[in-house]
Amino acid sequence: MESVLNSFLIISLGKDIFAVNISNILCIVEPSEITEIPDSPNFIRGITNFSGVILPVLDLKTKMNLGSTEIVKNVCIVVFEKIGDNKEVKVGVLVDSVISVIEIKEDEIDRTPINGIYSQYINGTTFFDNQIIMIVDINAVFSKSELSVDQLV
Amino acid sequence: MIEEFIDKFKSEALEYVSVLEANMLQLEQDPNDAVLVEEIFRVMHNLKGNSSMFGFFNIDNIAHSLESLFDKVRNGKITIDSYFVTSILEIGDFLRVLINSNDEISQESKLTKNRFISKIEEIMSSENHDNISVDSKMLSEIDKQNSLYYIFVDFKSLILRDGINPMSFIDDVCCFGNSWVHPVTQRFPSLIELNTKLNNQSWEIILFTNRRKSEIANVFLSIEDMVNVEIIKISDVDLLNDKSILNKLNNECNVSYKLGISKICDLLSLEVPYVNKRATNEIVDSQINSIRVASSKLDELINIVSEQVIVQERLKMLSKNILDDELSRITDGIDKLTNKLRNVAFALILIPIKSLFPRYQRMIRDVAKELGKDIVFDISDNNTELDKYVVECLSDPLMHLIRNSLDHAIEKASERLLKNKSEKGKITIKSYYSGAHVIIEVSDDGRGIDVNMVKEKAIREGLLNKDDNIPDNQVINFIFSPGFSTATNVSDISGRGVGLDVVFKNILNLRGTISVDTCQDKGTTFTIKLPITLSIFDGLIIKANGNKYIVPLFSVQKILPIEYIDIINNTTKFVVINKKRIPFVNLIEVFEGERNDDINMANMLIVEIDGREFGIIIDEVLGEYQTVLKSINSFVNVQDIFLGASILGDGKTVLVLDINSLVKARLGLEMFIN
Repeated sequence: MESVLNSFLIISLGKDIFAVNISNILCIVEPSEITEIPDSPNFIRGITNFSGVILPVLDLKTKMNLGSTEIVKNVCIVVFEKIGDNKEVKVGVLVDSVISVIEIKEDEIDRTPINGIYSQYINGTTFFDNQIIMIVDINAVFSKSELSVDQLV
Repeated sequence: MIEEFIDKFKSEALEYVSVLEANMLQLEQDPNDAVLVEEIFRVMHNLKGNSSMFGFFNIDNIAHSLESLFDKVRNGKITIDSYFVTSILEIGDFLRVLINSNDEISQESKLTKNRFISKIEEIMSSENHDNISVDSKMLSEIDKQNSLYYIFVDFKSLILRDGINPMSFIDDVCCFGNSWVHPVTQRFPSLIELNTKLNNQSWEIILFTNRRKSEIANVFLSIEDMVNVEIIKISDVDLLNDKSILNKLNNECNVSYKLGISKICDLLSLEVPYVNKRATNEIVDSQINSIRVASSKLDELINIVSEQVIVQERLKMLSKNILDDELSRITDGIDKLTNKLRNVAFALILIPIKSLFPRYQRMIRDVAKELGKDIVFDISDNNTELDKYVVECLSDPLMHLIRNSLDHAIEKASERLLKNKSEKGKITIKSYYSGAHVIIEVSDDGRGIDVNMVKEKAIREGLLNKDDNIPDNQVINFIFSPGFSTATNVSDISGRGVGLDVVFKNILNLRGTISVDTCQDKGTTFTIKLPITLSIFDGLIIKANGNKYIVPLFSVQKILPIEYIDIINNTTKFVVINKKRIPFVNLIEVFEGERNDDINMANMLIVEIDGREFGIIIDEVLGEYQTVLKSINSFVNVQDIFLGASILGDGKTVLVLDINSLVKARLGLEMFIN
């Protein structure tokens, strides 16, 4: 039986390298100015203008407890769409750099759970350039309970 | 392709049924309104034609029966009574089912259909010849009366494109009686310019017939958007029998292109009849000058216009910086056009609130009958219009409020008489503009809400402490709490304890507010207040803590310069302006940033909320801005104090503040109670 082939985007967050399934990715853009939202959780960097649409931007590094992303050269916003139930929603994710796109067969992915500070956002590991990389479960990152904010009264 | 047409047919057909329903309900009040009957006849005629075209024969059957039925009604052979109205309404419901199921019919509904058709036949056969009412007698006499008409038929130039032969319609009209026809060649171009694909011909007809005006007009029914027809009665006598008059007419034709009504009357030595030009034009307008557009296309238009407004603001900013005369003139021109375009586009998506009301009328009628209550539904609408999305969202909450009134508030007739009230209950729905808001009031003259009962219930549910001293008009708001119902018995109409909280939430989602005002045994009024447009408004760009924000301009009354040091040292949370104590919110503190302490100047916006003034402390006002409000998607749970975001001329995003929520969130509700 032939194994299912999936394409993954290889990104870097600081020194670490991760893979993200491209099926929900709309495009990758250079970051323009990001407007902060007062009293929002620290991993929400703010909102930005994505061709006329207000795009919320999430800092994946902060989300995964790896510090915060400084907007320097090579930093990209990966725009995700069709996440969860809502087809219309688009969310931008700040990453330090985009390295490449690779294809990985399902049987090349090791689904053994891992330990670590960001383990809940990882749903597998695989090899890239002879090093182990972790596959980010983007739905876990975006899950509703993860993003909720305590309302300011 | 065919699906597209079927969809169009279905939406039209449903509209026809709505007309049938609405007109029947009005006819129940005023059975002699011939205009309503005529309209029903017309829509049934259309429905018949369209449905048979698509092979929807069950709909066709019923529409055909209804058409014949209403033909008899308009000829005064059948009088409209309550039984008649109920039957037709039931048939209307059945038609809706058929339309929605693409005319497919189960064995069971086949029986229903046959039952309805025999019901129509039964009503038709009940036409009481011996018992003709005075009105209908007069009508039938008019029916037999012969009249001389002047008819002017002006076909649109594109009519030939659709393969319609205009002559056949002229022939049909002439068949009605003695006629004289004159082709009007006024618009004929020279032979070289002649385009044989376009119609240049219109017709003048003088017709002597026993047919009525509407029958003549019906000849042109199938091509009503391709033709303008004027039918004017000029005499009761057949002047066409007079050879000398015919000669006069024919001679005149050699001289002028179009004779026109006044010339003809002159030739026939008649007085020119008074024609209410305006009224006829209006009817033509409403019939022809509207087109059907998919709402997705409208949404697209609005999006494009919104984008244009943003680009326009960019251009304006650029022109301000460049200071070039030529450029600023062009910018001004485009600015004006953009504003016009914006207004026109937004007028397109606004629909009248009253489009919601017929469905309530129907429900009130049915439910009132079921409950054995006699209820009048009174509408005062003042042509208020709202975004079609908002109107759709209002449908359910309003339905709920009306159902509550029907079921709980309005007492049985016997109880009402005991209270010295009119036997008939009354439900009123009223809508009007107030500033940048639309107000909708739903009121009844029923028993009112028992405030003490609400209080007891609130204490029982732990929403309120026994010792709390809260005024009645605050206590009453507990009825909007989830699961709160004071109804003692549950019926299938309302009163399951879910409801008002849902209404409250729905209205809140539309950025509106709802309040209630009640008086024991006098009645209850629910007042819904909604912002007019959600998407584009004039805004004020302000700076608080170094960041830009937008405040809707309509909420700002005044801007006052203040010294920031006074605000920081102010412990009372009030400033006194014009001898009035004004509570304030320090936006610079809300957005916890570091302020450059060297700068002492700050500004205060005075805003009005629920009739009270509040101050908002900001750094400075940067200017006005046409704000296109965009929502921030639900993935980020933005606080209530933001309406959304907008994009500035330089492409940067900016958050839009909701002043109402900001003040309420920051100052707490106790401010509103005192």
